[in-house]
Amino acid sequence: MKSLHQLVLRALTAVVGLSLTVSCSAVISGFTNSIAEDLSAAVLSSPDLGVVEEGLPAYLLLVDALVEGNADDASLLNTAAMLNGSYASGFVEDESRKKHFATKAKRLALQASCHHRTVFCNLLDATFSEFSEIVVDASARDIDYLYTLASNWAGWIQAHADDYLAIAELPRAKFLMERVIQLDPTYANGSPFIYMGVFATFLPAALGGEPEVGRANFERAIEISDGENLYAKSLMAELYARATFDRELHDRLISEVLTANPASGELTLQNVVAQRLAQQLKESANEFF
Amino acid sequence: MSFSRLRHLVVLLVAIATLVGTFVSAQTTFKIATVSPDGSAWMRDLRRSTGLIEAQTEGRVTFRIYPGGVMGDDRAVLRKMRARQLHGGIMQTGALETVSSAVQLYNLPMYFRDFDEVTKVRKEMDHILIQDLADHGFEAFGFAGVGFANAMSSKSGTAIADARRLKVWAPKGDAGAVRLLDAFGIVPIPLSLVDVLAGLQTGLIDTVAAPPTAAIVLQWHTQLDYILDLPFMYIYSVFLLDSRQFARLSPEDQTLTRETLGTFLSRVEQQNYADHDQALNALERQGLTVLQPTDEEVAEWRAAAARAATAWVESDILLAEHVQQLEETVARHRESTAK
Repeated sequence: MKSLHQLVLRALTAVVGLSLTVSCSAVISGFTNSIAEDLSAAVLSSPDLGVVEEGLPAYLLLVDALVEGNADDASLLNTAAMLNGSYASGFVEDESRKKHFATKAKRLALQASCHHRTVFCNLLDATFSEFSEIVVDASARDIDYLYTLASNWAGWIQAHADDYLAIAELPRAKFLMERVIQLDPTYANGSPFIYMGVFATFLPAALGGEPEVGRANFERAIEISDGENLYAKSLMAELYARATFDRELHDRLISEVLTANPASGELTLQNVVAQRLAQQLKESANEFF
Repeated sequence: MSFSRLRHLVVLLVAIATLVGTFVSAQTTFKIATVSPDGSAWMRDLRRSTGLIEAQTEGRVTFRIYPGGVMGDDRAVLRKMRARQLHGGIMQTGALETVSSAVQLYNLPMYFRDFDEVTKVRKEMDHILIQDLADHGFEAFGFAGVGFANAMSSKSGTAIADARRLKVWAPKGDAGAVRLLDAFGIVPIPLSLVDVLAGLQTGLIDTVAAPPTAAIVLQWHTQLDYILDLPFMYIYSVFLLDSRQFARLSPEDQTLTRETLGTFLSRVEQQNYADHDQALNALERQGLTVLQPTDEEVAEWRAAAARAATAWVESDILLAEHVQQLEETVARHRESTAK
């Protein structure tokens, strides 16, 4: 894996390159894309939350600069959306800043899909029925954009959970995620199933939630990742085991997460976050059960 | 001092010590349940409020909260309160249909036109509902309005005759709702809450009456195209504690608990009303069309609503005297507003 320092150096070189020439934009576009993607991969593979938390804002500024120079580059926009969304959901505590980054991530994801395929430009303004038709028509070549849009749409809703205008858009994020799973169930190490698990369990059964559907989705994510997607286990403990008051399952899942090695390629950072959540659940278990 | 007097004194001292010990260590824990999910804004507020009570009573009054329906739905919570497995709950008034013949008074269809009217009437009448609950063994701290249920459908229609042609949902097992719709000449299709979305998707039903917030959270709005601009029914929750458990508190602790939880419910209600308006706006933004009934159609709806009130009185859901008092209070406020 390239060091973050090398990536920054490469990225800065690219920015300088962009300012020097416009005629080579196609070449540079490919170059900046590679940097942004490498950066994204490096962030996701990092086991050090502190380093990522402190370093990410600088990289986000860098990616902003890359996007500014390549505003119609779908792939770059997609990566920028992912980075901003990850930062918002994983590292920002302040509510207004979280909203800011989550909104930016959703906007970038919508722009990315729009530049990828014109028919996606209408996803936000279409009625739900029109939206469904567009998404059903999407194919395997669209999957990166669908997943980025779905996950950042969900992140934006989470950051605006006090706003019914946002909550009303949840079915769109869910529908996109369902389409990703239809196109490739193993995509992103089973992470789409985690989202589906959350969608099924965020409401209690008495209010229309479907805990068993949620459990099946969390288990599918665990199965697809050969048990390495620790976030699926932490969320299953929080959203399923607690909701069904199953302490035995809750404690077993938490123990598995806390004793596991979080290093697992691009799941590493997410796994470290999962261990942090598992520790919080462990500490509050006696109070909850 | 004779031996017998000494023995008497020892017994007395032990008895006093036991009493003092009981008094000093007296701690009353209320196990309360709700179907609302943990982590929601108002659940955080509830935890803050109960934490405040615990701190201010120096641990004499504590709460153990079971959120997210882990103790079952509202009716299950009520059963567990009867069995003393739980000591309280926050629930919709429909669950108390067989307990109190007053608590559903504000649920009467189309008696209120807006929140302002509800607020004025409730200031005068809440104590009647609270007293009725007290007579049946429940200490209530007030009510938290959720909002108005509006009719929403995938088909257009503004008159009762239109509604009678629609496939209207009623909550399964809710006899009150069925009797109410019956008074409107509507034969509903009973479904449990979890099956409503699938029912709308498959066309088994095409019409629901629900607060806009619920329609959005439950994602029903994706299958709906129209919303009738006529507040159908005022929906509200109640916070109850078991009277026997509450009676264990000292008068000071009772007052503190009552005031703190009453204030909590007022805050929840204000937020609910703001959410209600925001959710209505969101439904329009999502493409639902707001339908305006004509004056004649509204009059027809209201005449049918009056028949529904009679049906509830005949079914012992409400007392005639309470309904009459509500009608008079609403009329008086409407008159004073018109002046």
